[in-house]
Amino acid sequence: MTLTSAWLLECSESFSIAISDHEMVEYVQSPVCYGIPATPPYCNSVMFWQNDFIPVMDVAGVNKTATEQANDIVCILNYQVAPMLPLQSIAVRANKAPEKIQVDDQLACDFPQEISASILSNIVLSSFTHADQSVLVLDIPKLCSAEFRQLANASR
Amino acid sequence: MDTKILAVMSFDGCHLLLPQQSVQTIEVIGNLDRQTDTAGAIGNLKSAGREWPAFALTADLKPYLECPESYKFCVAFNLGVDAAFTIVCEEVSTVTVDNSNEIKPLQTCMRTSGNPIEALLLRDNKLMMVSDIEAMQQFLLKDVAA
Repeated sequence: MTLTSAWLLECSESFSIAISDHEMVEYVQSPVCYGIPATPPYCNSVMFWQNDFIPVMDVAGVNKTATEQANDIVCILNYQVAPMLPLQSIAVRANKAPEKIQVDDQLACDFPQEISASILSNIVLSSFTHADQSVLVLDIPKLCSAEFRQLANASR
Repeated sequence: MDTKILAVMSFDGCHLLLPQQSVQTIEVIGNLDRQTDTAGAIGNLKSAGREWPAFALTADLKPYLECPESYKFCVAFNLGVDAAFTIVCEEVSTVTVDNSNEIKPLQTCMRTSGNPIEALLLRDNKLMMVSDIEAMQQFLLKDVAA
């Protein structure tokens, strides 16, 4: 049995993702977000953070045509597209503050059926069970890529 | 130091920035000819013997079919020697950017094929959206008109 620590991010009541320690930066309550026109519905606003604009993403909204944007918390994540490239950041909407958990590799499970059938399956690295719910581990650089944006656009 | 002067067109709560050097003329809405063949446009501005299709946009960059009363100014832009387009807005001003690092490119995950917004700028707690003439022309005459 191998235990790994991670952050559990509840993106919606039925959808949670796990973020590794090195990706999680901080969470922000009631961020000031600015809407940007003509952008994907799941990523249609930015917030100003550390002297830069970072995209605010509703991962649970990837499969929807419009996001509800009721969540009042965002988690700032760092990612790196390739070694030696600078770190980039995004904000991911969450229902509540992230929770530190221990992930047992024996709890790995198949993707939930609704994920297998969705475009999110293109960016899921693995999934595991926590508190009787499936939790996804996403490839964050792929989530932020032009390829995924085109896939999401084509699926609407 | 690379100083940029950008024209700021404010409407519907948003601030759209385009290069000041491309501004052909600024006129009041009363000078607009409301006859136009351009889809999505609310009229044509006639200047220097040419016609500049005029667009009044919402904050979502969708075209208004009827120009709101608060939209009072027409800013016509040149694309080289060619007439390009006119943006109808509530206020027009300029912003000077001394430090190009202030202008932040829109990140990859937010870019869509029809999006004319290329970068963002924060001034006085206001988000400003930076475009360029070619991208805006393509957006107005292709996407808005569609």
